[in-house]
Amino acid sequence: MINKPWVQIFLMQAREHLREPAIIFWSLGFPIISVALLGQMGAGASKSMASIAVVATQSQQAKATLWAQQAPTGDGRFRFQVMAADEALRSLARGRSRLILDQAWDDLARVGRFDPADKEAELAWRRLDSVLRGGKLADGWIAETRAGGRYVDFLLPGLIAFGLVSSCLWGVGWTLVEYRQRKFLRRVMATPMPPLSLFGGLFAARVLLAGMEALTLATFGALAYGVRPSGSLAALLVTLLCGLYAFFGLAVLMASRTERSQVGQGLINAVTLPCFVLCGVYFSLDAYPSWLQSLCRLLPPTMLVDTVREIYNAGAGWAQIGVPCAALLAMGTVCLGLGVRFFRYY
Amino acid sequence: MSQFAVEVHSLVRRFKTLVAVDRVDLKMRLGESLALLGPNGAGKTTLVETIEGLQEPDEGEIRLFGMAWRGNERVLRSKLGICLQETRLPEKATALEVLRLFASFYALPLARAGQVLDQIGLASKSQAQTQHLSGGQRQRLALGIAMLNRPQLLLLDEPTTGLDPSARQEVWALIEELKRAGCALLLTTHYMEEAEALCPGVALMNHGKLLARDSIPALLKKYGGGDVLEYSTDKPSATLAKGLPGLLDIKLNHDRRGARVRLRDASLALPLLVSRAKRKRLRLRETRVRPASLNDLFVGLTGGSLDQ
Repeated sequence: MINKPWVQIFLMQAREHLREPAIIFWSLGFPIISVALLGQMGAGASKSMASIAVVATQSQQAKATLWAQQAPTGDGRFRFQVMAADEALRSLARGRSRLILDQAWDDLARVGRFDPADKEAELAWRRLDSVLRGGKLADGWIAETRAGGRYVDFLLPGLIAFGLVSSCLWGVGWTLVEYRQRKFLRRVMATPMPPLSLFGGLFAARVLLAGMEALTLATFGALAYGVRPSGSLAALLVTLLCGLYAFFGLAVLMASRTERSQVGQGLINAVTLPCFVLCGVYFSLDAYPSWLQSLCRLLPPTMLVDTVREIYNAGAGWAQIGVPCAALLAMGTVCLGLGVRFFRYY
Repeated sequence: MSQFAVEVHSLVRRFKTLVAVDRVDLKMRLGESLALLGPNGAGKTTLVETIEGLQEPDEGEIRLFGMAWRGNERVLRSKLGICLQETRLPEKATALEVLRLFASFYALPLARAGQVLDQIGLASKSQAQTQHLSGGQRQRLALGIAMLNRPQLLLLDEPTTGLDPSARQEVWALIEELKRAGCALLLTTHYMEEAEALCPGVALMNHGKLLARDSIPALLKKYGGGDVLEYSTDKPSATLAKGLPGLLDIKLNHDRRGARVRLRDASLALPLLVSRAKRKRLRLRETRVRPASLNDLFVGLTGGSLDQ
């Protein structure tokens, strides 16, 4: 068994990985740091504070400053800064002020100016106007910190799924292109080894290495934030294996003819960078128009991210993973078949 | 079984408009050693890689041990030992791990890796990662990979390029050992001394064609041999050596203030050259006479040098 080519290729890949501290950091350490930092978003949420630029001419400065000192702050939600009109505009453009309170700040004809795309600014304007009219904001809200409803619950399953995509594309695609560029592939293929042993060894190594990455991230999420899959654990493992197979196939296809690592890097980036935007790893696709959402949900990485997230957050099990897993297996088989068929060994 | 390790008939290999191998015929008997000599770009690597089955010929036929590549890939690969011109092995793998990896490709027991490691003199480096090996050690490891399957034909593409003289000697000693075991050897090189040290037979190659093939003494005899007279003068003179007795060929220096002249017998021509120089009021600055080498022969045949 130990002298089977695929076992030796598996061992070589695993050693190359584990003997390189930089790879360990970027594959295991960096995702943990990402979750640790991004997981804080929302976790410590309290009242948001908006900086308001109060516009005043030279002659109005003293009066405006007095008004700003006495104006209600909505329990610390608003901080007023008096400035000239052009300075206020610069402050808004640079994000230092959330909105501009224009002339007539001290009566009902007051005007707020802000970027309409900034929903936080619109909300701040409504709150400010209400407070200045003597209204009081309800304080009876509670930061939701229970498992299942936080940003980290949304983020972690996405990162586990996306880590698998990334691990396959870089760990297999990039490695194959490097082997070809270094003429190592040519040397390997000058032996009587059957070519499929090469792919078998690479796949086995990826199961181990991507598995380690996913397990590390899942363990950190469970221990630090209590993020645990609410659905079937076995279904989760099967889904991840199907995803691994699909993106292993894609990596082999992408590397099948590429001779230069720079071209390989470009190809991998062409797949992974859109994933950040179109696959809902970091934020929900619900903000997109419905036609774009439908399109995004047909993308294989989105299918993997969504399925893993459903298992984690919505208790999905075997019944829910059938279709996406079949799609991922089909994609893997087509890509691997084409990749092996057109692979440039020499 | 065929009496030939290599049979190449009318082989052509093209890259777009470049004809890298141009109707080459080549035969090597079992256990025979042949050095393929030629400058960079002569087509040596393309020819060897086509024989190795790593490149497809555009025309012609290749048979190894009487077998064509098609349908016999695994059998032929198990009979060949190959050392490519350039292979960068996995940097983080140790010497022993690399040999074990390749032993598995030949379905050999992993213990064979340890034997080869001893044979190539790297037993003390068994746990050293390949990135920490010297150029000579890496090249010995590459040869070790080629030796793993006890090959019947060894194809080595410039195995000592870039190595210092002592590392080169170590690699030569290893190749000699393999030859003693009855292995046929096809070696490409542009070092004449390497060809002389390892192979009784040489084939000269340039612009994709085989120009000549024989033993070095026979080639020198056949294509003139003789002496080489090299001189330089204080002023340009293109005609100083013209018509010297026993003249075989002349190659003027770039500044025309001197030349490299191949002659049948320099002792007959040298006095005449000196008197001509005196008559033309030229001062001979440096004058050297030596027996012609394979490189001089190559210059005479092609106008270029082997070590270009």
